[in-house]
Amino acid sequence: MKPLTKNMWRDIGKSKGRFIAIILIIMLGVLIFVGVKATGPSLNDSLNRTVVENKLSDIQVTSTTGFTKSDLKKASIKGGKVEAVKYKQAVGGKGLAVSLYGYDKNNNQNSLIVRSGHLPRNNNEIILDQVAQTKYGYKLGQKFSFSKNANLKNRSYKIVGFASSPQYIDNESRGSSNVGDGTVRLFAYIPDDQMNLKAATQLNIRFKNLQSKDTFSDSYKDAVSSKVDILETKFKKRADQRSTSLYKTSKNVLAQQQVKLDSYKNKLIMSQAAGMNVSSQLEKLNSQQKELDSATKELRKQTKTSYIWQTRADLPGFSAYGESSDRIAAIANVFPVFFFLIAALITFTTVTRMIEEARGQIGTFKALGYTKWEIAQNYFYYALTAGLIGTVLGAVIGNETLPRIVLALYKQYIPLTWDVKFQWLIVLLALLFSLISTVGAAMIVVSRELSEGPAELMRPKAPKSAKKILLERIKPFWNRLSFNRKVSYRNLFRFKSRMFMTIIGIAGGTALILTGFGIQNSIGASGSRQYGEIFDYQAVVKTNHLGDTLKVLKKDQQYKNSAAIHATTGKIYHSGHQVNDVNFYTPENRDFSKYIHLKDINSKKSLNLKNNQVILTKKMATILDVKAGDIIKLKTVGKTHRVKVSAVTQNFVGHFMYLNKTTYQKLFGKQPKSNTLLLHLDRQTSNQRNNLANQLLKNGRALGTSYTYDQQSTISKMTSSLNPIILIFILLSGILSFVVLYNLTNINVSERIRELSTIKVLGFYDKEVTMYIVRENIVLTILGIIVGYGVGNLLTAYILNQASTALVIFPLTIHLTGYLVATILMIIFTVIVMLITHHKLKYIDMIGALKSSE
Amino acid sequence: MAYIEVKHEYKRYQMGETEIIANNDLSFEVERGKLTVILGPSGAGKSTVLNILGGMDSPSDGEIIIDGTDIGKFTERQLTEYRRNDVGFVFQFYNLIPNLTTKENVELASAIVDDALDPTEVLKQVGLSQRIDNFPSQLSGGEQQRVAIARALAKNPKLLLCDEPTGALDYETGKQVLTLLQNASHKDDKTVIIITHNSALASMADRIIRINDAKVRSVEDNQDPKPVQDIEW
Repeated sequence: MKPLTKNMWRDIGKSKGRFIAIILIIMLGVLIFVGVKATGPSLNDSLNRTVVENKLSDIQVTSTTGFTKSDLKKASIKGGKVEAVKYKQAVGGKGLAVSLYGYDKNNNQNSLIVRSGHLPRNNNEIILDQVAQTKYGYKLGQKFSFSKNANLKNRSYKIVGFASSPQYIDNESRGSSNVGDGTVRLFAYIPDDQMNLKAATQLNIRFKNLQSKDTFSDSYKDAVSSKVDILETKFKKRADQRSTSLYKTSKNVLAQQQVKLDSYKNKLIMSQAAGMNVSSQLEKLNSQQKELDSATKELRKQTKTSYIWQTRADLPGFSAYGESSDRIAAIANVFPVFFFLIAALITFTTVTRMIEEARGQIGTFKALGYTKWEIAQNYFYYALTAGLIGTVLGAVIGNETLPRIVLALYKQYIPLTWDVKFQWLIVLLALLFSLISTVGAAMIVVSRELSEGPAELMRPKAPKSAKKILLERIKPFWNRLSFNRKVSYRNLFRFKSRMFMTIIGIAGGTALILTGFGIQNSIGASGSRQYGEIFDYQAVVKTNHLGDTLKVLKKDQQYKNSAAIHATTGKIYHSGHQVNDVNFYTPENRDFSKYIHLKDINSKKSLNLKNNQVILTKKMATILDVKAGDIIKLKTVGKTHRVKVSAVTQNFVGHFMYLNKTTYQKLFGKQPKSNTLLLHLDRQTSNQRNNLANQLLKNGRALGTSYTYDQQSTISKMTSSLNPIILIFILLSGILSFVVLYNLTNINVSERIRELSTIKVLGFYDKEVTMYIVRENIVLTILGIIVGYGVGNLLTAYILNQASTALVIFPLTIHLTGYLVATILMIIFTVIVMLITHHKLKYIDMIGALKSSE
Repeated sequence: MAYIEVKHEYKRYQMGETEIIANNDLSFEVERGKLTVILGPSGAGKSTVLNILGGMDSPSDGEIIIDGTDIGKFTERQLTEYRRNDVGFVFQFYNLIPNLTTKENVELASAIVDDALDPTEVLKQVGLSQRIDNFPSQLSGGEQQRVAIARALAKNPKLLLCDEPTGALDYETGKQVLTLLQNASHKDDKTVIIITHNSALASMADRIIRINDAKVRSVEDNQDPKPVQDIEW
């Protein structure tokens, strides 16, 4: 080994602390960068793998009247495999709406993942949703009964197993139903022939060549939607054909009766013509004719065939899953980059300091006749080694652990088959950044030092000329400071670069911790503010008949009062943009303002509905680029109308347009008929909620009831699904700021060892010596924390903006807890670093430091 | 009784496998208010004994009785207190705080003792009243060393310890600095100890202690010390 190389290794040996510090900082930066970046793809990959393994269908189509064999043939287009399933919704167990499937051994798609027990083997066996066990307490061997109008072969079945299904990945969501209280609670499978259906009601279609694609990718979505288009075109005329043919077969009986009636009628008419009194017979005949007509009508309705096409994105929980991994990806674009930036800056400072310390040594080597490159390459290898070790450790740990931790903590979803791929591209990117901040820093500083002559180098670097700082010019302030404080302030401004580094480090840590809390708080706030500040009701009931619904409501113990509105949906256009699925709300009377609070986004003042003008919600106004006074176009069934916007109202979830009855009348040329009730209710138990919804559906001619409680808890679940990643962020940010502070203090001490020794020799007590340095840290920490508050808010706002969906605004919210935790953590770190520094300074070799000429 | 009594003092360092003896059974006395020069070549162990006298280091063995107290048995805390209240140091390389002005460097010392002298007054004494607001980098070597002496004196210490105070200075400036130190002893009754390898300085002292090879070789009193200005080297 060359003496120069030997020297390098001994250097590393002697300053292990620094070498490890560089590795650690780089490792942390890379860890979180790679780890978070890998989390989004891992979530998607794992879901994709689970879905592919269990052969989830790409397209599902349900028919109101079932499918024939020829339908099956029609549905099998190129590359796709079609399977027919008997499917219906029924009420079972404790009044739960169940999505019931016929189990057919020969079917491969949407295969169940059995968690306990086994699949049905006998006629009286049923396998239930895993949720039935965890949420509703059903056990193996128990009976599960269905209501009579479920119309199955048997009323009750023996539970032989519990399973998860790739069709239902989100444990909290099973879709909506047209039976029970309107919400599906479970899925279940019984043997196919037990379904008591003549024809299969659902077709599952799966395309082999789509299985390698990411379900959430645009290319998958495009491919599937083009398949749906093909199928829809093929089935376009089929619905009418099927309706007609079903109608025809069943109509024969009715037609015979009609013939009978007609001939009887003819006879009667002839008799009448003959002068006989047949009025009573005729009356009878007419009522019979009426009955026949209504039977025909009913038949028409029953044989009316319609198809509902669904892709994976329509399955309950799928889009939400994609959104949550998108959100993590959005966070990954900002948070870790910022984190990495701080790490790189600190590494840069450390490497710079190291080379500056070796000044005399470099000069000696130069004087001995070593070439620039020979000297430089030692630092090059030193930096390269530290950078490489840090990157490799960080990349491996980050890529392998973070996604798994998040997956393990994603308890809301069915257990997935983990698929964590090594993200080579991201790792390479991280490596590049790491090497810039280690090797790059080393090369810049070395080349700067090497440009000086050896004699110059061996002499100590001329101390930075001190000068009076700005604060001193503010005499009243400066004169009041104690001597020690004056010294501290001077020093702060003398080492400007370290001052900024420390502030950036502390501010960065504070900001990142704050952002962690901020993301969580803000997502939660979109729900709590929507359902507190704006929607001040407990439930919405859609109804066919207000009177009947109110009758049921008035019997309910928790019911207080309600407001009727007309609700419909439509599209709104402005300046080339378009928003679909806008809810148009037309209130019946002024009571409405007690249920929905409209507040101007700027003035925060309460808004009233004006004649011939409408109020829009904020997100939509942003998308459409609309402000008060603009004219928008809106479209309901086919017709386009124009109307002026009077104001934009605060809103967080969904799109709404509010208008009064006069405006409605003017726009659509008819009176709005109230079809929706907003309810004020007392506190309900979940049983009471289900009960009321059931009653309304059964006896109140209601179409559906949705509770704000459920919507809020959906949002809070979405929030808690982010908890693990936020926790990791907070933890790592804490570690980062600690390392930063520790490292910078170390540099500070080593740079000023002579100064510290001097005051020690002068007789400063240990505490005073420590405070001499730490006082600066305290000032910088306080400044850093304050800057961090600001940066944290900016960072949160930016991430929220990235993460927001078309429907939801996340209002920037950071609760006091976030500020407290961030501040307390930073104070703790400062204190720990102070204690370590104190311990170190106690044992510095003051004699050695003072003796040397440097 | 002498102000300082060093009795059978040893200082040993363990350097890996070998033991280095820096001070080997040193014994000598220093009188109150007198100027003592410790003379010896580099590596003789004179700095070691000075550091021990100044409370920056502890002896491995022996007694260091200063004003009747053995500081060799002091704890870290007691040593700090001793440095703080009783000792003033002057180094070869001044060791001024670069970021503090002349006056502030002196204040740094005076701020921590109760009966400190007025910094401005002391700076006047060492002839630097014009340089009060300058930073060290704006001063010459001699001026810097005078600030260091002022800093040591401002604490109003009983004992002034100087380690090669002229080592980095030219002839004339060296003389100025030594005059200050001689005055501190002869005019202000400070006990002053100067370490040097320059034997010419012997004639300015009241007592000369020669150290070589870790041992005291001779202690000799000078009844008629010469003023620094009269010494040539």
